[in-house]
This record gives sequence, structure tokens and C-alpha cells, in this order.
Amino acid sequence: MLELRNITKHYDGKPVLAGIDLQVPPGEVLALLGPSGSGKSTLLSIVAGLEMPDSGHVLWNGVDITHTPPHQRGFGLMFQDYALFPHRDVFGNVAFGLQMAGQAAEQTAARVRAALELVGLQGLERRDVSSLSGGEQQRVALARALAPQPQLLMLDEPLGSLDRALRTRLLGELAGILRQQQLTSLYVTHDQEEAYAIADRIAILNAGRLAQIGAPQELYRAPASAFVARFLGMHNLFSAHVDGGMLHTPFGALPAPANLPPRVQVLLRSDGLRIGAAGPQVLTGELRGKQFRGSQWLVQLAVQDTQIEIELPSSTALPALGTPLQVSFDLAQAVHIFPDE
Amino acid sequence: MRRAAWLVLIPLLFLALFYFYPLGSIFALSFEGGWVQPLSKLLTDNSIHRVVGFTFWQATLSTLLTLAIGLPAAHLLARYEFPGKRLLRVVSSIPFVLPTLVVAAAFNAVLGPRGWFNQALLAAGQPPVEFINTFTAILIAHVFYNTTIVLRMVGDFWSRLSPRIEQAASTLGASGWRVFVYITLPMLAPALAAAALLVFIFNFTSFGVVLVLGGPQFATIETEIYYQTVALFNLPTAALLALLQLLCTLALTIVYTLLSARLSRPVEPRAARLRPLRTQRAAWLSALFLTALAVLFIAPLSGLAARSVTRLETDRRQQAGPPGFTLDYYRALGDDPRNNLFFASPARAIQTSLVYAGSTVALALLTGVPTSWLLAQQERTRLARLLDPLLMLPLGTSALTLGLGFIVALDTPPLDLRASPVLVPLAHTLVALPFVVRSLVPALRSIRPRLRQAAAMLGATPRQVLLTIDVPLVGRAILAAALFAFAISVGEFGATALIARPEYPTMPVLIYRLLAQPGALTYGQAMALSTLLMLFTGGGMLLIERLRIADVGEF
Repeated sequence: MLELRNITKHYDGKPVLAGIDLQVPPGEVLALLGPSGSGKSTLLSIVAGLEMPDSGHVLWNGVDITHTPPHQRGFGLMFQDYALFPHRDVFGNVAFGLQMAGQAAEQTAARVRAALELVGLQGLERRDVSSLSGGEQQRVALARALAPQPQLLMLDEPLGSLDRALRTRLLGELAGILRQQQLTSLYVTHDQEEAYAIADRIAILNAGRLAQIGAPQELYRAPASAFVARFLGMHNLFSAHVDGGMLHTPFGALPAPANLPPRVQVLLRSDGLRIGAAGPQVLTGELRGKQFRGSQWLVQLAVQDTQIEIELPSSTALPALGTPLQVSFDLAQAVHIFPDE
Repeated sequence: MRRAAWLVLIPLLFLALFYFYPLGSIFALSFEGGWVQPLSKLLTDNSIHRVVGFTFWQATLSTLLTLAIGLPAAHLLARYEFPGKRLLRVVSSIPFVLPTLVVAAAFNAVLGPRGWFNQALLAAGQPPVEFINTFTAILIAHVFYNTTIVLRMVGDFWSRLSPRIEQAASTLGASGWRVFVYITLPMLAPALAAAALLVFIFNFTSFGVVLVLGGPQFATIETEIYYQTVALFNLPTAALLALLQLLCTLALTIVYTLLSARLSRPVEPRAARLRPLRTQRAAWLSALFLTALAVLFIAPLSGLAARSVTRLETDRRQQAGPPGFTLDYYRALGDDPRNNLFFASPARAIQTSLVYAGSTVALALLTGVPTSWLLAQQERTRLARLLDPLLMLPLGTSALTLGLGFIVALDTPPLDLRASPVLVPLAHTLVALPFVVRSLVPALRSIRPRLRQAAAMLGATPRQVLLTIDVPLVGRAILAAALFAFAISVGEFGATALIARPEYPTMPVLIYRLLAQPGALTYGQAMALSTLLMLFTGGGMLLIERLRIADVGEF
């Protein structure tokens, strides 16, 4: 069980982490998701012991390890650029942690073989790491982090430098390995698809603060702020003001819930609209664009000079571009209201 | 590029006449009386064994000392940010470009019998410290010279190694020293080995430092060649030693070339974020160490300049002025201290040096420009491709070997240049040519045809292309090459000591003679002349730095 208590960190006087509290129960894969500069990699370095927090504590199973040097923590870290040892072959890289732990040669060899098998690189023991492809290097880095059987595995953008096709394939394999090993893991990424695919819970970081933490579907269903919504790829975010019990948005007025501040942000979920005027709420606009996405249509609708994105089932029959289209939605399901940023 | 292929004859002919022919003559002289006698001399002569043994011993010890001081400094430069970092880099590289006689005079000015330190002791009624003519003097001067090689080669390589690799090792359970032993050191190994070998080569062939600071009781192969030639006129023994020296240096140079080829292995291109030192104690220790290092680099040179304008001795006969600031030593530059045929005034030595340097610049450009042009071509003939390694050969040959070769080969027919004033510039050109070519080729290569085409497309006439593209790009490089040749020529000591005519000493040769003479005024003249020589070479190198476009400062 990893516990972070009120971690803060500054670089050159600028706050990078401003009071992070976090718990990762055993066996959980927690994704740290955030844009670049949000402090997620710094948080990882602090957990690894490569950096010291300015204040706050890192606890492992209740023991304060804030000042324990990295080599005594028994955590594994897979670096974004892999940081493979260029002067050691594949075996030498994967065996390093076991050798540092003073394992016997036969045992080391067996564990290296097992780790390489796990990542699908059996037989490459004597290869020079610089001769490997990007995907193979990524697997060696994973095997190297896994071989000493760390209590906690950290992965810093492990798929960041790979091309898209390879990424999708390795993501599935990586998720499988983490599940199979039942490893407590911290997975840093800036890609929400990656976080959805791999994490039990996702912690979203914004400018050194925890913006929201929860299971992927919770975050998707109920983003806690406009930042989280935007970061999760929800585009229909608008400023709105409250006046006379009505919420005035760029796409029209809606009945306002009680106790709203005068200025708010409104999210209209792109997956919460249906075609037709069955409503409780109905919008009429002009069809401006449509992209076929296999299972869905992605549709752009112009309502009162405002463009709204809508996802519709691909079975929907769409009219020609430039023609009027009516859509309807349910206020409780399709609209989120956030305080103004 | 078939046209002008005959240009290849210029460097080939030059090397044949002034490199291979002299070396061949040394070879011939050594084995004049057959193979048996010289070989048995090599195997049985104890004095030769002693000389060779001491050469290896002092080179090894100097190299180890240089590494011991250079490595911690390289680590600090590569990994940390601290005030005065740039200054340390600049200051540490100054000695490397200075002539050995300037360095010898500088140490003499600080720690010699008439130097600052001992004069202060004398004034305080304390016995003087003996530094000149000790083994310590040789070692310290070598460290002074070569630490910059470790800083540059190892430090630069180190700073390009990603600290993440070391971090990865520590997350895998390696403690601080194990990270260094298992990760950092093996990754540094190629740079470390290349730097150590280069330092060793410089120490192995060091002449001026050993001769002037070590004195007669320390004989390396280099100084022994000099001694056998000048004092004993035993040319066959000198030739045998030169041959031995040639074999050693060529072997070392070949190993170095092989090693430095491995250095080009790609390392992480990104520069690591530099951190400040972590703890107060580490910061203090590092500051102390770096300050001591800076003092080692600055003290001798500033001590030399200051000594050239300060009288320290009290003259009992009141002929000279009182102790304190004086320009007497510079005023006395026109005086011949001994006034005999085999001496000269410092002013005449300056004149001689400048004439020789001018001739060297002309000769080096005449051979260097066409050679570089050939080497810069995309397609090269087989002969031209052979040129590249051939041209580097003089670099791997010691100055005394070259000088002796000239003496043996060029003062008898068919090529009798013994009395010719061109002998010294020829030797200097041989030494300078590799540097000239190395600074010209990158500049010439940088003018791709595309640049001229681009200028023409933008409306430049051929004349404008020449003026706006070729001249700025190559002109600076030619000027830099000329300055290289100039600085090398005015500072060269080893070959010049053998071949310069006694009545026409160059600046380094006269400094050597002046330092060996008694008298406060003579010593002052040596200080003044050394300071001027330091300004000539230092100024030249400073100008080269400012002219640098492409990175031509490869060793």
C-alpha cells in the first residue's frame, strides 16, 4: 500500500506539486494522467526516491520512506526513454537488479529467462540493446523493471516514444502483464485512451494539484471540473450565465437548477443527444459536417452560431450537409454544470 | 573532380622530401653498420634502458596524476551548475596552447630560485624551497598542461550521458558507488581510455618541460636525443633513440586512433538538466577543489607576467634600481647579455621568430590549402584518400625525431639546406600542417553547391556569390589556419632546438638559454621574453576561437 501525504515540490521557485494526497491499495494499477508540466513525472520521481519532496511524506505499508535512497526501496521504474544500459546486452540489462540484490547466478539466469518470456523476448539474451527496435527496447525495459519482482512498479510514459500501431498492440500486452502479475503500479501518461485501457483508477493532475481521482468510467460519466472534461476529450464546453432562473448558453436557454453562481461552464455531452424532437430539450441546427467512425458518426451541428459535436450510432440516417437537423436530450444525463474557471 | 588531380603532388612531394626522407635517413644511419650492433646495443645498454624506463615511468605517473585531478573536475563540470563554471573551462584550456618554454618560465617565475615564492622566503629569512630540477616539477607541469584534455574529452562525454541511466541503476538496487563502478565507469571507458592515452602520448614525448624543469639528472628519450646530438654529437646513438621513439609514438598513436573511433558511438544527444550541489558539505568541498584547480592554472601564468615587470632582488652595488615595479626588463630586450657570436639579444630573437613564423604561415598555406581542397571533395582519387592518414603522421612523430631527421638528411647533398634559413620554417610547417588541414577541411566541406545555388537563385551574380558565400566561409578558416601555423611556429621548441643556427635563436630557444644564465637582469629578460611569447601564442589562439565557425578543435 502506497500512501502520499501532502507532497509539495518547487523548481526554481515555481510550484510543481502543491499538496498531493494519494493512496494506492495493493494490486491496484493507478494511472497518473495529466498534460505535460502537470507534475506527474515529478511525482513519480519522488515515489522512486530520485527526487526529494520539499515537504510531505511517502509511506509504504505505513513506513515513512521519504528519505530512503532509491536503491533501498525495492520499487521498479520503467523510464520513458527506457534508459537501457548501452554497455550491457539484453541479459546484462535484465539481470542487473538481481545481481545488485546478490542473487546466485543460476537463479538470476532463470529469473531473466522468465522475465524475457513474459515480455516475449526469449532467445534475445545476447543481443546488443542498441540493435533492438523501439518495441523490443520497450520490452527489455519492462523485463528489467519486472525481473527483481518489485513491490511497486512505476511506468513513466512507457509507450510515449512508439508509433501508433505498435502502441495499441503493446498497450494490450502491458495491461495483461500488469493484471497477471497483480502488481501495485503507478502508470504515468498524458493519453486518456492509455489510462482508460490500463488503469483501475485514474488520478488526473492539473498544475501540481489532484483534479479528480476515480475509476475510468466514473471520470467519464461524471467529470468533476471543466478541466477534467476538456482533458478527457469532451469538446462541447461553453461559458454560460444564470439569469431569471434560466441558464443562458450559446446554444440556447435551459432551465437552471437552484443555487448556481452567476457564471458557470456548461458541458453538453456529445454522447447524450439523440436525433429527432422527442426531447425534453430540443435543439435545432444546421448539419455542418459528418465523419464516419465505424461504430459511430461524429457530427458537427451549428446551433445559433455555435458548433456542437454529437456522436450518433452509425445506423443513423443523416440528411445532406447544410440541411436543418433536430436533436433532443435529457438535461440530467446530457448536461454538466461546472463552476467558472 | 578529375581536373586539378595533380594537386595531390604538392602534399605528397612535401611529405616525401621533408618527412619520409629524413626518417629514412635516421633509419639508414642507425643501421649503417648492419643490424647486429645497434640491436645488441638496444638490448644490452643499461643507460638506454634507464632512459626508456624513466620515460615510461614519468609518463605513467603524470597521466595517473592528471586523471586523479581531472576526473573529479570533469564530473563536477558534467553534472552540476556552479558559479565560475565557464571561467574554469576557459582557464583550464589556456596552458594547452602555450609553448613549453612559456610554461617552464612561468613555473620558474613562481617557484624557481628567483621566483616569487622563494624571494618571499628569502625576505622572511627562510631557506628556499627546491622545485626546479625536481621530479615534482615535471609532474606538476604535465598536470598543468594536460588536465584540460581530461576535462574536455571525459567531461563532454560525461555530460552527454543521460543521468537517467544512472537513476535506472539505482532504482534497480545499486548504491552510489555501485552505480559508478557498474554503470558510469563502463560507459565512460572509451572516453577515459582515449583521454588517458592522449595524455600519455603528450607526456611520453614531452621535451621542454623535462629539459628545463627537470634538469640534467632526468633523461627521457626526447631529452637524450637532444643531449646525444648537441652535447656529444653522437648521431648514431641519437638516431637509434629516435627510431625507438618513433616506434613507441606510432604504436601509441595507432591505438589512440582506434580508440577514438569508438568514441563516435552515438550517446544520448539531449543535455541533462544540471543541478546545484545537493549538500552544503559537498558544495564547500567542491568549491575548495575547484578554486585550488583554478589557482593551479592561473598562478604560474599571472606570476610570469607580474615577474616580468617586478624587480625582487636588492642590488648591493646599487647598479639596478630598487625592488618594485620596473620596465627595465623590457627596456633591456635589445641588449645582448653575453655579447658573443652564439648569443643574441631578445629583440633579435623576436625578429627571427617572426620571420620564421611568417615563412611557416606562407609554406603551410601553400601546401595546406590545396591539400584541404582535395580532402574536402566528395569524390576523391585513391591517392587523395591515402593523404588523410599520411598527413597525420607528423602529429604522431616527436619533435626531436623530426629535428634529428632534418639534421641527418638535409645537411648533405643532394638536399643541403644546412645553412639555409628555410630549414626551420620547413620543420615548423611539418608540425603545423595537420592543424592547418584540420581547420580548413570542415570549412571547405561546409560550402555545399546548394549554398551557391541558393545565393544565385536569390539573384547573386557569380562575383557576389564568391564575396558573400565563399570568402566569408573559407576566408575565416584560412585566417584561423594561418594563426595556427603562426602560433605553432613561434612556440615550437623541440625541433628548433636541434636545427636552429646558434647565432639565430628563436624566442623559445633564447628563453632556454637565458634561464640557464646567472644574473638578475638576464632572468628578467627571460621573463619579459616569455611574457611576450605568451601574448603572441595566447592572442593567436584567442583569435582562432573567435574565428571558429565549425567545430574544428578536435584533438
